[in-house]
Amino acid sequence: MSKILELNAITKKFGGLVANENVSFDVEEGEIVGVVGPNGAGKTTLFNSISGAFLPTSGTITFNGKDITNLPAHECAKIGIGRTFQIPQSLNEMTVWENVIVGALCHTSNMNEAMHKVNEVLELCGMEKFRDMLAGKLNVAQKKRLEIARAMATDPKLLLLDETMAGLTATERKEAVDLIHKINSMGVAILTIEHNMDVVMSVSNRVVVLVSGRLLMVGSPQEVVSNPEVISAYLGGGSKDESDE
Amino acid sequence: MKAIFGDMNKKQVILLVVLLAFAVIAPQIFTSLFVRNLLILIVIWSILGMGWNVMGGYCGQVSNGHSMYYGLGAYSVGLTLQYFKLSPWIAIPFGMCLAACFAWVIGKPILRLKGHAFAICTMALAECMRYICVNLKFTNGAKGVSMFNKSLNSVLYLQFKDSRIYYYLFLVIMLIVLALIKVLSKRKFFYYLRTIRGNEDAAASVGIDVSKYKIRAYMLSAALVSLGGSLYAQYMLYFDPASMMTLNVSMMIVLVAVMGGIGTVLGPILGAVIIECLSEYTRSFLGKFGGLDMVLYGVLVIIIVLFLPGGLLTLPSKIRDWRSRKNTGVAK
Repeated sequence: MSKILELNAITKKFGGLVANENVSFDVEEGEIVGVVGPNGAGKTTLFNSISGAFLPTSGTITFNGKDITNLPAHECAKIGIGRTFQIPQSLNEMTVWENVIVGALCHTSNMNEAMHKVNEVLELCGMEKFRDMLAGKLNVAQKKRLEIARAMATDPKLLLLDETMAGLTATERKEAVDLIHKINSMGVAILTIEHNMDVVMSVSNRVVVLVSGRLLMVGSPQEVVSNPEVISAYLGGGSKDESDE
Repeated sequence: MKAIFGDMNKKQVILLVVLLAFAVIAPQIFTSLFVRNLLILIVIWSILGMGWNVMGGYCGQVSNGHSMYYGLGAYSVGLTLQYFKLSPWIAIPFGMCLAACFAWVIGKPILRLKGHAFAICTMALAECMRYICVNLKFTNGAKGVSMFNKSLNSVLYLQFKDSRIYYYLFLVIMLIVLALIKVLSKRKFFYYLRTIRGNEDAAASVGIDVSKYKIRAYMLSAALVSLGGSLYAQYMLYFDPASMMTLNVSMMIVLVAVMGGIGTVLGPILGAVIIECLSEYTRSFLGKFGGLDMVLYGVLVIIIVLFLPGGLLTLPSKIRDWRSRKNTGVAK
């Protein structure tokens, strides 16, 4: 399998604060990779570097064999990196349909073509019934789903999901997991930040663990949860007992 | 045609036709010079409002300095006539191109500013432009430009004795602008502008080059306001920087769009009707009380901003909301 995304020694500093330090890993085509780590580990910063919202201080990012380190966000979206935001950035004064069509217009100026794409995506995400509703009136779960729909409308090859499950109920979470599997089965590689370990275990092929901006380990979900260093990073030292539970 | 009327229901089309018919026969019903003057001003201000609305409404970048493009439009017809005897048929499009170029040049740096900073910067630039126009010999300084010509009733120079001809000509131009905005409002360009207004990060994440689209919106906005300025100069046949390029004019342009319905197709026209009627009538009835017209004006603006932040165009839906809330209240 060829690699769709390669991170090579990514470092991002905000003044004196080092948010990411020397992070390297890769995502293969069609793979789902989970990114976990305690709060402040630099997960979202890493996403912002990949999607072009930030320029990394040093290191290189390669997407589909092309160096995209210095590519601005809108160019990243054009070449096939879709993303969602941790706090949903839905366009509240626009309808669900309009939110999705701005994504669909990424590769075409033809409204009919874009509308066709919107129908497809709304059906995929199960949001047809909200199509004429203002995005501002949706609840959190629906807004998160809309984020995914908008990103999917840009026809991404790689989808970056930033905590799409946070704040969802168990049922909503299950629906979201199903959606992620559905999207993945269409051949889209997914890099997802997730706190809920059950979700990470059930969706990811591999898991990346970040702690204080550094890469702790990359491995299968089983390897990660059985690694004592990961457990201590999450629970704060000497946590043998908890790991047995 | 389908692009213009496609998404309207029968009721809306009928309403539009009735309003249009009224606009056409209005100068025949009202024969007083006062009302005919008012009608022409409404048409001109509709164009200004629609122009501002592209940038301030759809794109969400509030400019408080659009009077400089208004002045630019007026100077481009006035000065080309004075120096080159150029017909406004050429000078008006020339002025629009000039305004767009100017917007591109100053837009590059100032569109990096956001929100209040952008609003203040445009305000300052418009003031600078006014001082430049007042002090340059080339622009006749504070004396302004007189375009009055003995050979009145000239189609080539757009000068007519009968103000109705101005009215009908400007009405046609306004309808063209309206159709343009209406068509664009369902196109990629305007969807992108609305996305930028909603959230710039989200816009970039779906592949929108935010600064490129902001500049384009600013250029279109400037060109349309310049068109309005040219028409005003053409109608008045005299203008000076003190009447065209003040902060007051800039704010009026903003108010027309905000009052009618910001970011809507018809809002600026409704705003122009209300603001022009209000300012002309209060001026004629209350003008002798020195400033009382402005007080009334201010109070009305405050009321609208407080209770109808979406503009007067949202009044019907507000009333519907209020009624349904009242009904459900009774049911409980």
